[in-house]
Amino acid sequence: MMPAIGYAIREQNRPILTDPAINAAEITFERADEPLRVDRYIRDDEFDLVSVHALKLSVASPDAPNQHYLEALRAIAQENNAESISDHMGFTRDGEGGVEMGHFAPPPYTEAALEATCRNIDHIQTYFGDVRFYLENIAYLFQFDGTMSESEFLQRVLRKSGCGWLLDVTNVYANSLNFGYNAYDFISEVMPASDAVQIHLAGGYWDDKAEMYIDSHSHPIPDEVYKLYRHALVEAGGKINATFIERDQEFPDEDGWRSEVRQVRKITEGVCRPAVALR
Amino acid sequence: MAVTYSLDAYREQLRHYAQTMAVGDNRAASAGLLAGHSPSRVAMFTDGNLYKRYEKLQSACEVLADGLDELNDYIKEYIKIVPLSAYDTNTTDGERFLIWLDEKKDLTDEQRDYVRCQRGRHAIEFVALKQRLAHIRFQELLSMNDRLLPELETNPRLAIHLNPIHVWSRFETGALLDDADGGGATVMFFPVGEDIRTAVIEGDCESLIHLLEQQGVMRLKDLRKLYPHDSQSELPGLIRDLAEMGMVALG
Repeated sequence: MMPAIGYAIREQNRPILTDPAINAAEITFERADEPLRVDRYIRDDEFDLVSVHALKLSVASPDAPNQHYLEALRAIAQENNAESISDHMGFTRDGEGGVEMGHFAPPPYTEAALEATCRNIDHIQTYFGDVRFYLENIAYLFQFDGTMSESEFLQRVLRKSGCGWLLDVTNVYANSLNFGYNAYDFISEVMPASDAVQIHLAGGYWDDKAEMYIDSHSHPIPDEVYKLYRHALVEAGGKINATFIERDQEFPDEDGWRSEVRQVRKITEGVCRPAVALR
Repeated sequence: MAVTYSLDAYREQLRHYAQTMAVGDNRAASAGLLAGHSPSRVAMFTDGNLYKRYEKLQSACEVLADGLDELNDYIKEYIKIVPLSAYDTNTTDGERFLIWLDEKKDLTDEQRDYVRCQRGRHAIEFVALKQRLAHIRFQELLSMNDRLLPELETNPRLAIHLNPIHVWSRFETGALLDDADGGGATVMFFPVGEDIRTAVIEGDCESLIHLLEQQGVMRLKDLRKLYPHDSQSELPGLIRDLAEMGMVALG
């Protein structure tokens, strides 16, 4: 299957969303949920696949996400004909009625965290029904003490919950550089654990002072990430249904937006639509 | 911190981490790190989160920037004391900050007007969230005002709709008013599209809006019956003024 390809919508890339290379769009829920909005977030644009990306489901928290948040998320998904929703494998808050940290951190990879995460994903999937949930692997600055690796935790969550995997290739790349593991092996290990996959691609930068790769969504997608993406397409064997490019800072000009999505399409077609051999 | 096995222990572990990291205290999280992971990275995480919150609060309270020189210092103080609540948005965190500011800081009357103005704008967002369909319907009607206004006195079927998303307030000083020498004034906040506008409301205009609030959607001939006789001739002009501001729509 050839994945649908597109951008996470930002005001800066709206002018090029009708480019023929684009047939998918990702809506960041926290941007779309504006109380005074009049139009639907994707406006009159048409896409083969729309997904809504959330930031506060906090699936690794000890309590399920609250009803108001789920209702608002569903309203945006319905209004924009989204067929999937996604959020990150981490926690942004503690329990119900607690506090928000402002960004997601990885949970301690333990049996208790696994149980809480799977229970929360079950809750989300039951609530959303046909709108499938995808769980994104995150880029992290640190890990808590636990009893299993990130790869094992993610595989077990995907298998037990049956949700899709939102493979953020750049997050795998960043973690592999920052914590010294093999990014190709990570993708190969986790890929069999889910029957439906979506992809995030982005570019960050190497911070000399912090001595780490920062996943800032501020630069073009690096060549190494393209290589990992190609590897993921091969490993997936046709179960990737969408690829989204994310950019949040230092936005390119119109040509930059167009050339990056065309590059992603070219790579994707190279793997998913191999040339037919001539007799 | 020891690795936890029960859900209750996990809940307590995350409560401990989240509550402390939310205000930039990294000690608990640093004590629970996997071997080889650095507390300096926990500090990067919490510093980054607090800075983003600081920027969002600046944005959510931008009206105050012109009237409160110490705004940025107050925001920095606030985020170190009051953690972000679960599911807070920029607006709800901003509103909580304004309440804290009003209670904890010795503001001048003029500065309190800036706070009232910002809170009025937040209130519009809260009302619009609860009445989203009414907001959308009214904005659709509003887009037809240019076409329908010339028919105001000739088309008996036209009804007058008050913008359902509006909030009253009162400025006690002239700090935010064009007439800086004047005293206070009653003001109304209302959205036009995705913009929030503020208007001074007084005299006949205030009476007309209260009438529309009480009676709901009305035709001009029915409005005339309830409007004071000595101001009847001014009524169409008043409606046109309110329509041009985006406070009423015809449909």
